[in-house]
Order: sequence, then C-alpha cells, then structure tokens
Amino acid sequence: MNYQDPELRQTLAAEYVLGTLKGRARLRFEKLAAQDARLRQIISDWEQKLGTLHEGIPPVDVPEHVWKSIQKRLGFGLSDHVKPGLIGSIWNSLMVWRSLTTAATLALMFAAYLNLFAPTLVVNQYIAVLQTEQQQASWLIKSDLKNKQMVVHIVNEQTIPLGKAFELWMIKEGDKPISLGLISPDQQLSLPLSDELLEKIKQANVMAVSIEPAGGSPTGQPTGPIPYTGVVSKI
Amino acid sequence: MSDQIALQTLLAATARKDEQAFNKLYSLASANLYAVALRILKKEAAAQDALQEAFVQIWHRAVDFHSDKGSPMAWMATIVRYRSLDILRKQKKMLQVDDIDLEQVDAELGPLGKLLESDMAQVLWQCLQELNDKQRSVILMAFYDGLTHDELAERTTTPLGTIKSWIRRGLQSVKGCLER
Repeated sequence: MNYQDPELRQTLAAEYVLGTLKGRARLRFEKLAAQDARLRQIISDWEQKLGTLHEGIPPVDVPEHVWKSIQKRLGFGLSDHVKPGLIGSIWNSLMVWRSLTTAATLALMFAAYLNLFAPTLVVNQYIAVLQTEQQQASWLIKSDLKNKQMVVHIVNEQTIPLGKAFELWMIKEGDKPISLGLISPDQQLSLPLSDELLEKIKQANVMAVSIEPAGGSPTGQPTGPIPYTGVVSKI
Repeated sequence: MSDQIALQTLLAATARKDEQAFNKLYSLASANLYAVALRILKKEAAAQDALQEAFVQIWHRAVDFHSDKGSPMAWMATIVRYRSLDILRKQKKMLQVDDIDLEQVDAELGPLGKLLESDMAQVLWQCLQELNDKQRSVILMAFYDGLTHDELAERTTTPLGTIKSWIRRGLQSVKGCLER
C-alpha cells in the first residue's frame, strides 16, 4: 500500500478513529503514525470531529470501587479526603485542592517578601506568589490598594514557547476568571488599578497564569494550560 | 463552556501530577466516559475495566493534551473508546451475534443527535444527515457500538464490500461536508 497517497491516509485515519481498522492493520497503522507527525495530525483531526459524537450518550453513574482501583494502579496514597461524585462547582473544588498547598505557599510568600523588599511593615496590600506544581515560585503579584497599582515582580524567570504569551487572571470562588492582562516572563511590570478592579482583587481567592496565543486569550477566558497558580493573601 | 475550562484546568494540573486535580477530573468526567465504554462493551465489568485503563492512560498522557486538540471531553472519550475497542476485540469471539435491521438502527440512533451540545457536534450531525440512511447507520453503529466491517456485514446481511464502500464513501462525504 502506498501510505503517502493523501486519500488513503485520510481513509485509514478515519477508519482508525471509527474503530473499523482492526487487528494487524490497526497495529501497522499505529506504528506508521508513531513516525509520521502529519499522519498523527490527520488522526487527531478525525478524533476531534468524531469525538464530539460522544456528547449524545447520557452519563451513567460509576460504582465507587472503580476509582479505588485506579488509585491503587497509580500507587496513590489512598487518602480519601475528597470523594469523587460529591463535588459542586469547579472553582469550589479548585479551591479545595489549592488550599492544600496554602502552608507551603505562605512560607514561600513570606520568604520571597523578606528577601526581595525592604523590611518595612506594609499594610493594605494583597499579594500572591504564583508557583508551579513543583512549588517553584515564578512571580510575586503585589496589589497596592493605597497607590492603586499592581506590581508584577519576577521571582524566577520563566521561558515561554514562541508565539505564546503569559496571561494573568484573578479568580473569585464560584465566579469566572477575570483577566489582568499579559505579563512578561522576565521583566518587572507596574499596572494601574481601577477602583473596580481593586474591589475585585479584594474578593479574589486565587491568581493564576495561563499560556495563551501571543495577543492574549481570544475568548476572554483562559484557553491554554494554567501552569502557575497562587493564593491571594492580605498583608 | 465553564465546564470546558474546568476540565482543561484539571487536565493541566493532572499533567503536573496533581492527584487531587486528577480526582476532581474523575468526578466531573467519569459518568460520561463510563457511558461511552458501556455503550460499546454492553457489560458493566468490562466497561469498568475499560474506564480504569483509560484513566490510568489519562494520568500518564495528560501532558499531551492541548486545547488545540479540541474539547477535553472529546479527547478523553477517544481514549476510553480505544480502550473499550481493545477489550471488545479480545472478547469478541464469545459474544452472540444478533441480526440488525438497518431501519431500526436509524430510528434508534437518530434521537442521539438531539443530545449533542457543542457547535462542532451539531455541524457533524448535519453532515451525517446528508448521507443516505444506510451509510449513516453503519458509520454510527461502528462508532457507538464498536462493530467491525465483518460484523456489520453479517448483522445487516449485506456484502462485505458494500459495507466497506458505504463507510469509506460516507466518511469522505462527511469530510467534504465539514470543509465546506
């Protein structure tokens, strides 16, 4: 078979995704795709198209033991403090798992603050240390209510993929994220804050940075991965 | 839409090996994904195995998901489907094969279209409506029930070559329609 023939590639990819390509033909095709990025793209396109048909299947409750088996398979510490199936809104749940790292974040925030800035006591500021899941701090976001400005300090320089941008968000539990604009991976930045934004920052629980197309999120909501998060604290 | 963002956020955290986030992801997505496996495998124990396999894979492969790969749900459902098909192919020989009346299939699967929510799914469904009934039915049976060419031929008492060409031409038409 000539696997370079465009029509054949489309047909095989479509039948692979549909599931009608089977047995040895399926394995052969998988091997081929493993070495052919363009073919993987064709498969991925079909997966996106046909994958939406799953929306037509009504959900069915899963018995609890399945999650236990998954945890066991993956060697998770079976600490059952968060039971699947009992979760309300997502930002609620985001807060639950974020709060688990609060102690570490606070320690880091305090250390970052002491190290980076004059040791004078400052009040009326809201700060958030944004960090990766490995708890590496990347930015310190300081919102000053008195001077009505937000300063984005660099703690550790980050690298960003070409053609992408870091976008800063604040999130209040139960609400949609609000964009605070694009931030630089390696340069300190000061932004004026409107009274309206100031009020919202006071109520925000979390700040986060997502990776977006170069001009920022096209939808007004995060569209890419969100690798950096931090809890907002008043000091 | 907010569900999409929630799932995306949780998948991104799962990629960083955040167990709590993965737990939330399971809570939000497992009932929909279990339904996908159950639809193909018909048996609860097998569907639960498929779901388990799929979530183990999602844990390891979350890093591969990017929002340009479509919706997080479609991405995860595809993983569940492939695991279900693997299991189905292994146990296939033990299953009893019933005959299918193609007209009944269209009547049964037709209403599924009303449940499709996303724009992309709606467009796809419209394109499927442009196919003739038989083409559409065999494609949907292959998709939702994991049937192979041979099984479709046998169960619809249609020559194998005809089934193959219905599916191939049907998929080509769908692609043409989606690109219009």
